[in-house]
Amino acid sequence: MIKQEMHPAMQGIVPASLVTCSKNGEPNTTTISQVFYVDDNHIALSFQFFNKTIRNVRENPNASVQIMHPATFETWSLDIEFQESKTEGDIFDQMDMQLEAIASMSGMSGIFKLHAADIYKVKTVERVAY
Amino acid sequence: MQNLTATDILKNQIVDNQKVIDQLNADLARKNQEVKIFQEISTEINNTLDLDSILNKLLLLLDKTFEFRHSMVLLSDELDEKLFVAASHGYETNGIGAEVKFGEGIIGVVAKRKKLMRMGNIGAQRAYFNSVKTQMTNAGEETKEDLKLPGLNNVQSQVAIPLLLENALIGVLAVESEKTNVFDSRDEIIITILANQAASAIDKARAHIKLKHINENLEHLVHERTKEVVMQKDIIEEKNNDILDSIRYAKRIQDALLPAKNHMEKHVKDYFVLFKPKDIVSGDFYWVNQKENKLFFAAIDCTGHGVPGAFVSIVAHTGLQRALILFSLRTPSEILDKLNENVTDMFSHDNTSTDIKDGMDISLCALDRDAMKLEFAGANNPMYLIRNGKLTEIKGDKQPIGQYLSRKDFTNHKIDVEKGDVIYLFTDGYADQFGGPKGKKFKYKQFEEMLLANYNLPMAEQSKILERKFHDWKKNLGQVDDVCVIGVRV
Repeated sequence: MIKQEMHPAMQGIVPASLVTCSKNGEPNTTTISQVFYVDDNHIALSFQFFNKTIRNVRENPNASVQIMHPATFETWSLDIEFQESKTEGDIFDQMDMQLEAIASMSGMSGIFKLHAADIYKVKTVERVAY
Repeated sequence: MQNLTATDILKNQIVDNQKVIDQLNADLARKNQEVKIFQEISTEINNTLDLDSILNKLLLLLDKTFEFRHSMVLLSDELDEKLFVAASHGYETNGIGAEVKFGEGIIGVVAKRKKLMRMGNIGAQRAYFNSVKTQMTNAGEETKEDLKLPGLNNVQSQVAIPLLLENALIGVLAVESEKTNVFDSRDEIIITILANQAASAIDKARAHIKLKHINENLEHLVHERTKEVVMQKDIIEEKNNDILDSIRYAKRIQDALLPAKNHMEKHVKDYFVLFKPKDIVSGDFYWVNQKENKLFFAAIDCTGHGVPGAFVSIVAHTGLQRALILFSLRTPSEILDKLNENVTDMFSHDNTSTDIKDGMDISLCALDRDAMKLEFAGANNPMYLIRNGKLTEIKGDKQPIGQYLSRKDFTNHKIDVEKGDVIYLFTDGYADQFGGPKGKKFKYKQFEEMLLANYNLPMAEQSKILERKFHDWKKNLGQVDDVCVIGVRV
């Protein structure tokens, strides 16, 4: 699913757009700083504080995210499905460490906390032409 | 048409397959090259035991072979939970010694969690946090300054890897760049392999340093101990010298108690004395006194030798003088009885102690040259008289002067003497000396034969022969006891 050439788009250089939908069919779009690569069939999004996205995917797991290659501006649209919320393991540690590192550099240690790494299954990948 | 399409498909497949094969070959070639470089680097950094040199080599090689332009190694102080820059490469200032607390920045978090970290979007992430911070400041919330951390000011990409040895953190190796997203997962693997190499090299170097310290410490310790021993030796030598000085002084006192040479020549006339103390002072001594027409002479062997023997000899000397002068005794046996009384008294202050065996063996003669009479009494020791080539032994009583259970009065022997008779008195030191070809005692038989063989010679010469014989017999063996032999010609 996720090809090698897409990896640079998942380094959090260009923010990604995430679209979710409530159980009532009300859509919500938001910009997120990074989509994390878990494996070729999974991505992770950070759950730092409760918001509409978090609520929506727990009601309706289907979502879509658009990522962009920072050098070529190639864009991919991924249909994803929320699977689980992880509070430990490699991907959680990786995300948590990044948060801690950057927060501490900005003198904001302890303000940001990673609640969980939300794991999504990648259902389809579509290259978007502009 | 269908056939053609199938061929095309096949052709395309072959082209595609060739592409994959080329790619795989290229990958293989690259991998081989990498392995070679790793081996070289590994050899290079493991060949040195100097920590600074290991670290600098590592960072230089990272630049030369992998084009990692900015890198540093921080060593950890796990107790204080901080790291300090030990080596750096590619910076304007080397920043050696700069500190990073555990949990601060990428390097600090890597140290804290002992897990590697790779980021390519540091600038973007920081911008995000800074915007939040601005919002917080605008809302009147208190915020802290940005941290000052070693490394590039405008860092975008960084890989930081914990240097671990058996799960203990030695330090962190960090590679960074001002460009975004420059390190990929392959770089991560490369750096990880090198970090592991570095960790073991650092550990080796540290062990070496530790060993060196221990060695130096040991050397220092040996030096100190030697100094101490030398000091103690000096002290002992000094004390020994003090003791020797006082013993030498004691010898002067003892010498003063021995009869003077001119006194001997005047009264004993034709005689010799072979007197060879084992130590400086002696338990053996000889005593001469002339009262009226009687010449008293004795060879005394006090128990022990050296200092204790010398102490007893003073008692013996006093006792003999008392018997002769204070009690005006003129009979050898009576003199010995008196001496015994005196010595027993003197050594029995402590009545409960039965094991004071201090005392002496003695042979005592009184020679009256006018009457040509000789009287003799002995405590354990005999006297020899040689006349016309015949040796006569006159035994003393089998009891010492001093504590003895079945004590009886001493026997007084009276002998008529003739001109030319030679009388010998002696202690056991001569006959008891070990030596000769088999390391055995000299013994009395040989002693008697020696006296017999030489009794006609002038007394002074006899003394010389006795001394030489003793010396030849003893050779390298130590002298066993004090030696005293007196010869008097009637």
